[in-house]
Amino acid sequence: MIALEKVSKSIGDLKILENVSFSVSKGEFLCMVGPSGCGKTTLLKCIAGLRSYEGEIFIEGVKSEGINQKIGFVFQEFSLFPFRTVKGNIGFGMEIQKRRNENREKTIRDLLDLIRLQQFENAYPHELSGGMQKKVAIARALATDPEILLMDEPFLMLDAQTRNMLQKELLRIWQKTCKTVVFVTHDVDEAVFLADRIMVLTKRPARIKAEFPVDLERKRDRSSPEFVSIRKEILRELEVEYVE
Amino acid sequence: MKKMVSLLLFVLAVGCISQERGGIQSIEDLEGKTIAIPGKATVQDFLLQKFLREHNLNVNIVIVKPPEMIAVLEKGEIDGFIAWEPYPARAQVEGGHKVLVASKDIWAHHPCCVVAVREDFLKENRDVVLAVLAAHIKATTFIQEHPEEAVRIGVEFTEMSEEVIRKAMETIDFVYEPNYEGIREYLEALLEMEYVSPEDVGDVDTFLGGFINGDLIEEAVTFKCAQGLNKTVRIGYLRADLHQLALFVALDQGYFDEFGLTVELYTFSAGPEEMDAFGAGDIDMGYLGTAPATTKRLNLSIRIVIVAGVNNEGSAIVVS
Amino acid sequence: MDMRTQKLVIVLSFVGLWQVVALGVHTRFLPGPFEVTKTLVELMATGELVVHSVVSLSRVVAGFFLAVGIGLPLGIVMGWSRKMENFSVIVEVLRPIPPLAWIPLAMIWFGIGFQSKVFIIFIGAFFPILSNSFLGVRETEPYMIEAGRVLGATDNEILQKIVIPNSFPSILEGLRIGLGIAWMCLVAAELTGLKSPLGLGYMIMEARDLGRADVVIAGMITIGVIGYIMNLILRWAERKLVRWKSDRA
Repeated sequence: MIALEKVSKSIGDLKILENVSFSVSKGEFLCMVGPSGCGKTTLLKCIAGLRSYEGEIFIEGVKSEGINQKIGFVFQEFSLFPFRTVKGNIGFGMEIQKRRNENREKTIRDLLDLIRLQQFENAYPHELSGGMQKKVAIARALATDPEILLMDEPFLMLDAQTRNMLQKELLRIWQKTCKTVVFVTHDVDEAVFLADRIMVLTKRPARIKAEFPVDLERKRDRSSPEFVSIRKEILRELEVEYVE
Repeated sequence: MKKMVSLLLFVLAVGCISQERGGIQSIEDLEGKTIAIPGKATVQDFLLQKFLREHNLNVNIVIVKPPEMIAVLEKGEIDGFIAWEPYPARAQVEGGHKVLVASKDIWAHHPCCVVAVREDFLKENRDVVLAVLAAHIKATTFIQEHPEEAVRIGVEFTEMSEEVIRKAMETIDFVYEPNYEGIREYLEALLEMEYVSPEDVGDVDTFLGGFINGDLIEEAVTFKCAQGLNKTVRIGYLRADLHQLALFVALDQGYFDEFGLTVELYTFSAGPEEMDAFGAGDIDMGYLGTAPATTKRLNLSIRIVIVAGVNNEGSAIVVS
Repeated sequence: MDMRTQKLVIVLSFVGLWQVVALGVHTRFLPGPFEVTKTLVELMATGELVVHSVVSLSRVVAGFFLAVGIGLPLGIVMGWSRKMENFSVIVEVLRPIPPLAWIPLAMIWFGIGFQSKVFIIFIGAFFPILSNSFLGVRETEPYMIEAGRVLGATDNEILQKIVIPNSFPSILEGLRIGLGIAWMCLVAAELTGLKSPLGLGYMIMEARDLGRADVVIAGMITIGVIGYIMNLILRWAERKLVRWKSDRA
């Protein structure tokens, strides 16, 4: 589905990404973990077409340059448009694509059902809790029916409980919609809970350090020995990056 | 035949209306025009209103500072103005404008500017006031006896050309005695115009008795002092107001020095501002118009006394 | 004591203090509240006050709308375009110049008519409107713009559908401040000589010449009250138009 070949990025003399190459299969849930500031956000934004880079990125076999309709993005920050209602936010992408109203209405309703926020159709973002806002952000990204969902530490700014709840919600939504997900986080726990496969990045300039498939069945038990052992391995890889 | 006549009348009417901007030729033309005065309750305001009432005219009165009047007239924003000399003379000499009415034709021999002093200052510094008045008398006499010199000093004071000053001097009558009757007429007209209220005035003669002091000027004629006074006096005057030439003659000829007086000068753009300075105690004595002196004396209870006359006449309504 | 009563008490105390001071000082220099109220009533009865107020309002409104028409779009463009950023230098130099300082130029360029007044009022309102529009655009979070981009919006669409709506609170505040300053510039503007003896500034100027401090104060109070009401109206409009702004922000 997604293939990166030797993607590098520098800002002036500062190298951020160095020859990153990997691929993602259709329908896969991939997590990327790395130390803070290693460039994982930049990498994600390169795939999304929001940043320039050297190297090549292929989406479904076709070289992708710039913004791609097949990609949806969920940001770290609370990025809903505060001046639009939930409905207005979700419908934004479709407005841009100039889809017809009836079409839009149905999609919005379906998404609201999916994220289970039907009564909040006409609410403004500031009236919603952090968790609810994140769900709407996911719905907004899904509204244009992209194949791929890129998520940049989306639950970083939420408290632990809400985070856990949203992780479960995300899995449910993913299983229903069958999208390909690339999820960036520094929280190893989160990664092991969510991913089919985890890639560990080095510190800046980022390279792929290691790869860990996670074959556990969902819903995963965080206290199970398998879970704990995978977590330990990944942490060990990461620690090295932090110490140096 | 009827059609021809009405057509002719129509054309004449249109012609008359379009004459609007075509300049004022006669007094009747003033009707509905815009005339500028230096300020409300100035002598010029007073004269203009008197004139309008007598001729049953209505005009649009606006306030413009005299230095700007000619420019504004030439721009066509006003149709005429009334100001003190040398502005009318300047308008004629440099702009080719004309005098529609001279102030002497509105009110013959009308008093214009006076010398005033703060009551409290007078109480404490009688000798200073007398000295200033003595200088004033000498200067006024000088102007009458040495017109050429006076013109030179006038040119320096107003920074206008000799031609303008010469022309301006023709209409000004320099005096030093306060004109009781003239001031009384001002007061009565101010009451009529409702610029001041009868309650504030009380009995006219009683008021005037306290407001005008004619004795000092008589004393000043023969005033001498043994040694120099060694005092400072703050005197206000109106910018480029040729009526107040005596003040500058006195300075030029050193009359104040003779009494050991140091004079601090304060400029104002019109009478009402000068009255404010009196009120605040920023000046001790001043040359200004009778009308603003009287008006603000009453409305703001600024305690000043008129101690000398300065000039009669010397203003004019100027039109394009 | 609740808010309303508190405010009332404060106002009454102020008036009381005024009366006391007025009694101490010479009445003519500082007329007391009773005298001024009497004058106010007289002025309203003759209709003078209304006429002057309407004339002044019309001048301020004209200058204000001119400032909005030029300042608002200019501020947005300056905030959005990288190239225009350099113009902000000129703005920063011009901004501290008080509208009053522009009066001599206003008279030279526009004379003593309606235009010179409108010009001064325009200068007063222009800079807050320009600044706030500029800032509103500039302060739009990059991730919000990126969110729009990733959803397929073009630069123009981002400007229209994201940046400008997001800037509304800032823009409206600029308008409110601009109008307030425009109204304050009024008296200064009406001092540029007048072609017609109308306007609250003129009324005050005339009263000053005549030494009528009570009319001066009546005029000042009128200016203050009208300004207060205009501010209230704009605040109300802000609340209505920007329902989405949370109190936290």
